[in-house]
Amino acid sequence: MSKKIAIFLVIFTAAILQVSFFPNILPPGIFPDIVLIIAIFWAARSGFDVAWPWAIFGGLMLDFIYFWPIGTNIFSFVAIVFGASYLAKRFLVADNLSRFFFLAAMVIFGTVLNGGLTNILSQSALGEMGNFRILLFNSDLLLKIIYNLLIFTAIYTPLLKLEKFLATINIRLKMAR
Amino acid sequence: MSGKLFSQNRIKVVIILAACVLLVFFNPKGFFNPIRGGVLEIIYPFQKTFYLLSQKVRIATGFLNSISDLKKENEKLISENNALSSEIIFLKDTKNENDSLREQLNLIPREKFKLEASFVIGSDPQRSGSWIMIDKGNPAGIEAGMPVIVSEGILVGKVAEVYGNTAKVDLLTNSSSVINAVDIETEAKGVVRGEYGLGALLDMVAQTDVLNGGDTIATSGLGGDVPAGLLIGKIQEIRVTQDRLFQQAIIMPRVKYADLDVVFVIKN
Repeated sequence: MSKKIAIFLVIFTAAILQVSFFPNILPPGIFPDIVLIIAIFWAARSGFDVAWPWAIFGGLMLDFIYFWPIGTNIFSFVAIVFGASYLAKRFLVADNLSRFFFLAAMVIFGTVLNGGLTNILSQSALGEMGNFRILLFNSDLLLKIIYNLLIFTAIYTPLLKLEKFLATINIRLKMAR
Repeated sequence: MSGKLFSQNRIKVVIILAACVLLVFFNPKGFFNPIRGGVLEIIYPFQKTFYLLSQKVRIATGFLNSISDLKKENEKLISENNALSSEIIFLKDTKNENDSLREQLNLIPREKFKLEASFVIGSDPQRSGSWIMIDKGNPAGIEAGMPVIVSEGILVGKVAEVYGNTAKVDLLTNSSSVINAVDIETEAKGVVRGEYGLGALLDMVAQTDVLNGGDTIATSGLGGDVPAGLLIGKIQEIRVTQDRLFQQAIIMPRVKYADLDVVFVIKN
């Protein structure tokens, strides 16, 4: 239960940061996808079974705050989390450095896919199909990948520590029972 | 076992994705608004706190960046000050002229607008010119359709959805935005439409009307929901529609929407 509350708080805070903090200090439209990064991290580390409810929660939060049609971010997050956990099962190794670079590659892949999927879904739902080229292929995407990698690098160690801390609490609770 | 688990996950993913597509394309407009309102109500204090914090960070980093430019900026300010002193005298005269023209056109004096000041606490994540979120909602008397301006009487958009403590404002460049407008210099009338959050277009201007590059476009007051005389922008480029029935003009908005911090909702 405590683990669930902690993850809930992390995703909730990440969503607010993504929506209200970063857009104000970074160039317009190029804020980092912190919720997506966290979802990818958890999917690769814990597997799809653990990560999918959190992917839905994170996506739903963003859909509500961004005024997008409900389902847009959920679709993208669930698809990316599934892909990340599938690839992690096959390629993630125990070595720390390799693990970091593998997750960084997942972040790049997720950023591109998330940008494309959310654009296509939200714009086609709003009937603005004609604008895809401008939205998908611009220099902003490259900057966004860079910001996402920077944020991923910054939160990677804290997330590992949080994971370890939550696992310890879980063991202690089980032992107490 | 692992293969079976994976195929179960695959079924789960397909079901979730299908449900999402159905939700995105078939959810009735406004169906989720009560839940969205509740969520926005809960996150409002956090959102405002983070927004104010980010503003402080922006100001602090802006200050650090400007230290190296202080000498240059000081010289620039002195010359600007001299220019502004002479401009004040000219503007006093223009103000008197403007007041008398507004009186002749039966426009509400700007100081008589019932304004509700509000902070911008969010914006469209994909395109800065589509919508903004403000920190005033139902309790402040905000209603859908109310025009939103910046302090100089420049129209930036209209309130689209109102919630407990927040409201969504569709900007002029939003594709759903349509405002009746007039060319101040030539009195040509038309409608200003948003262009996918990227710009605004003055459309439906009769071929017999005159449009010139650089002309000022303001609201015409037709339709009643937006008062006349609010500035929209300047004409950047003029073109003719494909059917050659109307003229169109690309409008350069007067404000940079990405830099909006404080806006005013006109309540009367």
